[in-house]
Amino acid sequence: MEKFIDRKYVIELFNTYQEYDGRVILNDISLRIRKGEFVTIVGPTGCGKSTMLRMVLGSEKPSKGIAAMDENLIKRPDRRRGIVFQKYSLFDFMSVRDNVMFGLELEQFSLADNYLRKIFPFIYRKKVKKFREEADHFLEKVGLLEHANKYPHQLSGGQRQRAAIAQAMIMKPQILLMDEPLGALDVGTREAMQIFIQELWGQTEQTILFITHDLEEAIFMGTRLIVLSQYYKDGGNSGSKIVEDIKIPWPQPRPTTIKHTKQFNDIMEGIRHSGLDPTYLKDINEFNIQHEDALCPVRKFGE
Amino acid sequence: MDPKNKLMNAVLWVRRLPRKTLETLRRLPRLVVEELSGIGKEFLEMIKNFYRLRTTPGKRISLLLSLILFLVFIKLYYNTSVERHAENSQDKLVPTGEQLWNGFRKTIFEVNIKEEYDVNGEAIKNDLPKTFREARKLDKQAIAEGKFRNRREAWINGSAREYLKQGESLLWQDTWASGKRILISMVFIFAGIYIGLFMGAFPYAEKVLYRFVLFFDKIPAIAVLPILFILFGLGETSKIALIVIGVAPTVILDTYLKVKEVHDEQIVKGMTLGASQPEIVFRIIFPQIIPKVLDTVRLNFKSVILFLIAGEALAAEAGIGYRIFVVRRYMDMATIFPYVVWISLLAFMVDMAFRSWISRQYQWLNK
Repeated sequence: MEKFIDRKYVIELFNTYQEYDGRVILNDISLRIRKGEFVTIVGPTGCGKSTMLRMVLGSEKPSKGIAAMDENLIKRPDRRRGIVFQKYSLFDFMSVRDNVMFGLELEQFSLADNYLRKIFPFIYRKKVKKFREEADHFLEKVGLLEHANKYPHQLSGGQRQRAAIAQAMIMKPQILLMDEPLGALDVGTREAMQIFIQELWGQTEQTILFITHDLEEAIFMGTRLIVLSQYYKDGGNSGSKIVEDIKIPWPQPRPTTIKHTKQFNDIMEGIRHSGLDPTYLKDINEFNIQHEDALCPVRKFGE
Repeated sequence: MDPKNKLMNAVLWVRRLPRKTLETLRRLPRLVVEELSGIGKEFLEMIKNFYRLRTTPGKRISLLLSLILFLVFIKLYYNTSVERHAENSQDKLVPTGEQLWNGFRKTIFEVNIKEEYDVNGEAIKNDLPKTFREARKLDKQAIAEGKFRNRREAWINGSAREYLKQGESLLWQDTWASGKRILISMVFIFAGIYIGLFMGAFPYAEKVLYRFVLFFDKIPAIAVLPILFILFGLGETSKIALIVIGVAPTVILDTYLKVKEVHDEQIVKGMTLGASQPEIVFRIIFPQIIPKVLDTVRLNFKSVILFLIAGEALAAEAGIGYRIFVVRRYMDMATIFPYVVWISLLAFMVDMAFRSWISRQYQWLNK
């Protein structure tokens, strides 16, 4: 716990609501994420996990409440927050290396530079070489250096996601958002990627917000687990709330055998029952909000 | 493969050629038997599976089947031609092979001699040969007589070259006139790609342009041709305007739709990598859509030629469409046929060039 004392909050959400055409998706979400944390968010289908991520990203504005980063309001997606989607993270028309270099190029070259570069490549040779070296460094980190010259469609699903992670990480974002990045992968690749992302987190201390619909994955990977659910007492159609916010006890990196221990299964069963079961509805006072950064939901006056 | 290797391979291939040919000749009877029996097997297969949905026809029978309709067409033409010529040996509507060949020669190989006039308005006569073949004959004679030392000298100073200098072949003149119009209108059509790009990317530009372009797209371009002729006169402008009005809206709308198809994730991703607005348009959206848009331009090349011919048919001094419609008055099928073949061939070649360029330039498309 002492570790947290000198660390800042990166992302802060205060009493945010999100509604589309009068239908409430997110109901009074408050959340603070510290630097260096690996937060996983899990929830049933349609609970608004991705909506919350888009609010953090800035591609959607909350209809009520505040979403802030470094004490500034989040207005639009920018280079301080990286993202890895389930699909379409990579640009199909560039090789893997160019994809990873793309962020650096956008940062250093203006549009005019980009066209001049095609006519007079020798002016930019030095800079491009530097970018290339950095991109190769990141590609080596994700184990894709030998595939650097391939196009994304020539890679397998897992390799593509690794390239997407490298592409986002090269910008050194303050927080890396992942929207079900492993959702489309087969079981074996998925487990390998889970371990890979954990190791990467251990090496770089990159703050990560990881969204998944797989409870096992969520518990296995993160240091902090948030369960978002629309199933609570008087919930009806009033949108999702954070029903659990707990610290995951095991130190990282975790061996996969941990998934078969009793403690792991107990946590999983507990969350499955209290958070994801539509027939079991908890009262707002029974929510399992234990994490030290959590902001407790308040029962509103007169409710 | 590096070029040196390629060259070596070519040399080896050529050196191996005589032995290979001999070997093939030796094996020829057996090859013929094999081919014939193969065709027989595939034919039986075809009879068995003719009404099946999921079958794969053999290679040889596929080739034969795809040739059938062409052969039937040629045979029908030939029969009609023979019949009509039996009735009237001067028939022009269905020219025989010889007439067609003469037509080809006249339009393609013979130059259109420019006539020069003197002060009184009478044509100046020159004693130059009237056909290329005659000119070549004169040159050969000159070599035989010893006026020129070799063929190169004869070509430089001889009458064949003099003959060609008098003018250009009719076909070449017309192709150049039509080609200029197509090239200029292509510039406008390519500008249309950018209009479509902006329309798809910027919602305010979309509001301004979308309905207007949609409206223009629905106007049949041929119907506005008289208006164009009145507005722009009978010159080049009206013909180019016809092509642009006919084709550009399609290209603009297609580009617009392609831009709309770009996944939102890609744009958001670009923003998280620090791309500015113009960079999103020109470095993320544009490279994704351009090969597909070029494909649309390629497919619309047919309408470009259609509008070109329509414009030229009404008023022009040269051009492929113009020539076809002029000689139509004399029912000169022997000229029309080479022109039709030539313009189809041109369109096919342009199409092929576009296709190979796209597949070479945008290798990421070959999924």
